[in-house]
Amino acid sequence: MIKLTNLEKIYRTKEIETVALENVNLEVRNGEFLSIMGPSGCGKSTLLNIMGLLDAPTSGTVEINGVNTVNMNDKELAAFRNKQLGFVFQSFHLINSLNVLDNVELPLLYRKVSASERRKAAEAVLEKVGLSHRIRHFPTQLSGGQCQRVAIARAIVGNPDIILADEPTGNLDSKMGIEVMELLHQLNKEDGRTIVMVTHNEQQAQQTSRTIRFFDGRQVQ
Amino acid sequence: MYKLYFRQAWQLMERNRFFSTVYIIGTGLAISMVMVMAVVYHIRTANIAPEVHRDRMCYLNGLSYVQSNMSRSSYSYGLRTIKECIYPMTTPEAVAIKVDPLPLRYIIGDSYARLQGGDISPKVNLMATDDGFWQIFRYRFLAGKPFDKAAVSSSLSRVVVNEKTARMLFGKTDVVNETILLNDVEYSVCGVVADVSAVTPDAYADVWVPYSSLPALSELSSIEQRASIGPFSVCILLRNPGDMKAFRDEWQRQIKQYNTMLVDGQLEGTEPLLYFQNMLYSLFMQDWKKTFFMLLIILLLFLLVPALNLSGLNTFHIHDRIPELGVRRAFGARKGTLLMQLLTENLLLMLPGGFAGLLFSYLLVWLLRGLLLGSFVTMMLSGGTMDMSLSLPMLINMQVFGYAFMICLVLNLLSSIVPAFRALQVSITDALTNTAN
Repeated sequence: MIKLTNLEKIYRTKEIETVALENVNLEVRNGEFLSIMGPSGCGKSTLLNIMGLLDAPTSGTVEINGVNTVNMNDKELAAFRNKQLGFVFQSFHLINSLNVLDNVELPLLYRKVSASERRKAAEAVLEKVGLSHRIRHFPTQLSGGQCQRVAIARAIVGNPDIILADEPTGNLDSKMGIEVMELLHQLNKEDGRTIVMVTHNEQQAQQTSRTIRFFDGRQVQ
Repeated sequence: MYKLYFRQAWQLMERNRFFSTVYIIGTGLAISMVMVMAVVYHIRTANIAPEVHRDRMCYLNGLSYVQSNMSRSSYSYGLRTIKECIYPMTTPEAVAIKVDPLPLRYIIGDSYARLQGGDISPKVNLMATDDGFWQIFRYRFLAGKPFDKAAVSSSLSRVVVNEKTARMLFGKTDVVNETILLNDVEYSVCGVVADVSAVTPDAYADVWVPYSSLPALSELSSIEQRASIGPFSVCILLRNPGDMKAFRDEWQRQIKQYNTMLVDGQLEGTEPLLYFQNMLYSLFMQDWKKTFFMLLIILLLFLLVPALNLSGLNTFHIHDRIPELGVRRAFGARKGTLLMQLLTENLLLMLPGGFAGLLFSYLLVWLLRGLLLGSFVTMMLSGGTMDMSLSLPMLINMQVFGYAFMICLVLNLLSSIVPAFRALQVSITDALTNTAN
């Protein structure tokens, strides 16, 4: 499903060179729920960004569903992300000037999907995450847990194979964190979606099918 | 998708009320300067009654008579040239000759109208013309009709007066067949027209008489030079604007042939100009292309200066939205799509400003109409008596709205494309972490 080979990411400025990832080789299987752990600054989020084609590696290859993405141009990457990947961010990244329904419809906006189909699909996933009564609300009118559920709905509305979650419970209290994790597990088990999650929470990592650990840009486990 | 853009733009306007207010006011003021130019351009070039055929009108103005000893006399068209050279032309749909009130004042002095035994004698703007004039210019007749070809060829003393003059002399407009004294010569009123604004300068006058009724104009001199050049300007109505080349060719042939009949000298005419070109020429009395280029530069400056200011505001505003752009790109939006979104949203914000600017420009044009729409020289010569009234259809019409929309579009592009483009150059990861500079 996702195959990273000899991956390296180096940030260069005029004076300094920072190695964020070094010789990473990783394979994520179809339907797997993988968690990535490690201390702050070890390269977890960089790895997730590269897997999500939000950032490009300095060297190495990223293969998703058998497609080598390294030589794709900006347009192709956008189309690929739109169809194959869904993102859940720690700080939700909902658009405050759009209501819940419009936020969830967002990925479908960049496909050839009619307004009525977009609406139908968004309503269906909002139902799934238990927020169908909040579709006209704006993000500022929702709790953190509700915002993250909206973000999850947005991530799955386009029916992507892979969901990439960067500390999805990092900004939530424990009760809401549990609710969000339950939702992610449900998506993994019931819908068979592959999930890659960056987390600092050992307990949440233990609930996933596999955990890998990073330290100073290298995979240590 | 555009409905969504509109919804979001509306939300953003509501959320950032201060920014939106400043932006709309700024846009309004910026646009009003350019809109003043657009409104003036419209009033000067569109088909506005009585000049309802401006789009296919052209003018013959300057004519020089060059004698064998190379001495040159420049004026306009003389009666002999008109009769032998211009009237027989076949390309135009109609031909009119006229002497406008100001040049006529130089020839016969100020004109006064009065009734026999009347005690008021208002000074009037007198125009001398022919029957073709009434085919090219469409006046609204309140009573009677224009003088015809027979009246012109028989030098009959017929007169068309405007409503203001009729009311001043008779206290009413139904005065057909009444007699007035025009510079102490009896004229019979054949028609009364609604007052004409001086913003249609070729049609403007208070009183119109057949040129043949004025001896100073109708006497055909036996001297070749005096018969060939004279005070008449010639208005041509083409069948369609595309006939200009054919007309120019025919005009050149006619002048050439006329020159073969001249003994003491030769005629050299300035090229016929379309209404629009003639208007530009008359602004600064120089080549219309130079004037056009100069106005274009002024227009660009008027657009560029506010565009730079608005661009600064936009940079600040779009910078705040960089994380949102990152999210959209993460979920598959292309840069081109987002660029269009930002431009569309900005345009939606600009349109209320554009509308406010349009209203403000109407106010400016109305207040400064004498300066903007009249010529300073003509105003001075007329002693400020010219009627510069503006009617609503001159100001409020689809063409002016079209100009306003186009100006908004250009200003929008100039002011927002650079900030939007720069915002989209930020990498997605930097945009999401909001570390863009």
